[in-house]
Amino acid sequence: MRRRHFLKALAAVTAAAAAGLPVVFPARDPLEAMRALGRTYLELHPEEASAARAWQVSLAEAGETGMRGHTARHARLDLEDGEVVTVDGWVLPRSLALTCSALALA
Amino acid sequence: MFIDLRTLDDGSVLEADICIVGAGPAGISMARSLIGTSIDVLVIESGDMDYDDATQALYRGESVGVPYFGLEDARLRFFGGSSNHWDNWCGEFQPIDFQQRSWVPFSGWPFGPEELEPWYDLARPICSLGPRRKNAEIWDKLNVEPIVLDESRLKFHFWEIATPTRFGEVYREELRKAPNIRVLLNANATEVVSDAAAHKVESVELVTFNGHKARVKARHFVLACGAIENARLMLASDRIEPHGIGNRRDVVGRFFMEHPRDRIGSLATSDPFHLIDMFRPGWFGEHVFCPSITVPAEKTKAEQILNTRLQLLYVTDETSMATMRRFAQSIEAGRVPDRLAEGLWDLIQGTDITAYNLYRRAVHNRPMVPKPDGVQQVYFLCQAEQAPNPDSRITLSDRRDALGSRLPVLDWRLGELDKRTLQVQGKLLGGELARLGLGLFQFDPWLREGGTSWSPSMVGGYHQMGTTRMSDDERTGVVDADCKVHGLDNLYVAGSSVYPTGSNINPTLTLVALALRLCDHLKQRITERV
Ligand SMILES: Cc1cc2nc3c(=O)[nH]c(=O)nc-3n(C[C@H](O)[C@H](O)[C@H](O)COP(=O)(O)OP(=O)(O)OC[C@H]3O[C@@H](n4cnc5c(N)ncnc54)[C@H](O)[C@@H]3O)c2cc1C
Repeated sequence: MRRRHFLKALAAVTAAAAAGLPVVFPARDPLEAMRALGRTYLELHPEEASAARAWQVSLAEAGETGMRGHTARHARLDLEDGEVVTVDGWVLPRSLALTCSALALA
Repeated sequence: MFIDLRTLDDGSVLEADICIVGAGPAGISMARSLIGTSIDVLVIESGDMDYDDATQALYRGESVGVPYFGLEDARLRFFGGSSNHWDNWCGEFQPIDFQQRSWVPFSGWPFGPEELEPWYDLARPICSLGPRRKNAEIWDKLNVEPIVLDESRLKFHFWEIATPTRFGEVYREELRKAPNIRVLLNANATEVVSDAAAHKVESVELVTFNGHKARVKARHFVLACGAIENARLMLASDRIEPHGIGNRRDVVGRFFMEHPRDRIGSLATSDPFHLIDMFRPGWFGEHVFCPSITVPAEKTKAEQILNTRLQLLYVTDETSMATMRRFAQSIEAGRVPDRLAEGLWDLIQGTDITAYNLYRRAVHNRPMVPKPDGVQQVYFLCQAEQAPNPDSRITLSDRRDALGSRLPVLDWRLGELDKRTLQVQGKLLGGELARLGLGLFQFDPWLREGGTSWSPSMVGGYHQMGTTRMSDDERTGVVDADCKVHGLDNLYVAGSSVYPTGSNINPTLTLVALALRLCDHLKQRITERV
């Protein structure tokens, strides 16, 4: 998938993440907020860089339409399993942090 | 009977079977439980029936560690002790609190929760609490549907709250009338004196502000002066043992603990009202119950953390709720509310929420809630268990109080485990709230990744503990399982200073239970003459 398309598709994922969690995400530009979170996550957890890259691939594989569901499904599973991480103080399902990281790497 | 020491002759010597030093909840509970026995009891109280500046100033001290309240503001020194302004938020320690936890150095009580249970049963009515209740029963009575937490990660635990029992007022008459109890007021204990071999206490030395001195001789002595003063008095009693009475192993004053209280983080949510409603304290008959969130014992073990509780609070810009509360308090006290016009204007402005709150109160017996669009933030406050730390301690200063006693110095210290516990518990909380679709949790800056210091706004709960801790081993404890000071045959300690660990719940109910248990032990010793 071309970078431009990937970013566009991820913008939709942002909306999905926000829709999955009834949250007012505190940023004017959600895409930029996610990218910033992703950058911070990778700075704090450089060991997650390869997972983020693999995640980027699986998001790309899911395709534009599947990307939303892919992140939301994994985020739900993470929450069931207690797989959460902290980024900038936010407690997030790991998949959401990986999606943000994928965006930061794109 | 009450006696003012200032009216006795200078140099008086008083005798008793049991001498209890300090008339706060611990001392008063013990004295009450000895009423009607053949045991002659003398209670020594520094203050009078009411507050007095000069006596209160004897509570001054220095604080050199984590910032703490002024020591003279953190306690009250007159008949009834700090119960003269306590809030009566109570609860029993949980089984995990008694356990020896490999990941919490110095943890473990010499006995388990079953030992304390019958004493809790007796202590509950003394602290104006009702019988023990199950969570399901409480939620039902509060008329609230709780969120369904994954109980392998988090669980609810309730504070039990009653109209504050002012021990000095409520139990005064009983003590006055009891033929075998004498309460000596305005009597400041300045030294506990042992025999030359330091095996047995022979007397407690008393002084008054008018310069009178007196001495108490008794078969058994109990120190019940609160956690800072118990240690201070033992350290200051250095006539025979140079480091203080009962302090051969240098444990007296160490292991000072509190319940650190501070915001840990806030919740971004589109529905703050739901959570606020659920977490408000609510009535169950005459009592109030307030939910908090703790971590189940198994999970604390898996995560290697302490046992801490979190309470949900909120910030609102709307004032009608506070005004309603203020009006209700004034009317209950038979006064016209202050700032009447301003208050009425607030209520008119918030007519909808005022009406809704009246309806909730009248029809559903539910507490008031803020106007949803006035809520600016929902946040969580911790009341944390603190890991026992020998370097967190009370020592004595070279400065002296008006009666010549050395002032206490508090060096309150917190450690890595204390902070990590809050980070782990916040993460568990954030995960659960997100799983339930209730919002996203964000830690406050001091608990975020890389934040090293403690929050500057952190305070304690006015819950001083641990300075004469209990342990079977005298190298790690000042008193044994009977609350008897190691190495001394007839010196005991009552109060939260004997706690080896302090849980996350307010301390008074447990210290009253322990005081009653100690009384039972002393009754046996006296009747069996051992
Ligand atoms: C503002 C505030 C709110 C609180 N709220 C709660 C709450 O909601 N729930 C809870 O569980 N706890 C609460 N506490 C703590 C509670 O008040 C104490 O745990 C309790 O009072 C301790 O009882 P005690 O008898 O061990 O000691 P104290 O109450 O401290 O009593 C000690 C007594 O010893 C006397 N004394 C001290 N030194 C001497 C001396 N040298 N000679 C003779 N007499 C002496 C003192 O005058 C005093 O009367 C609160 C405390 C404060 C300050």
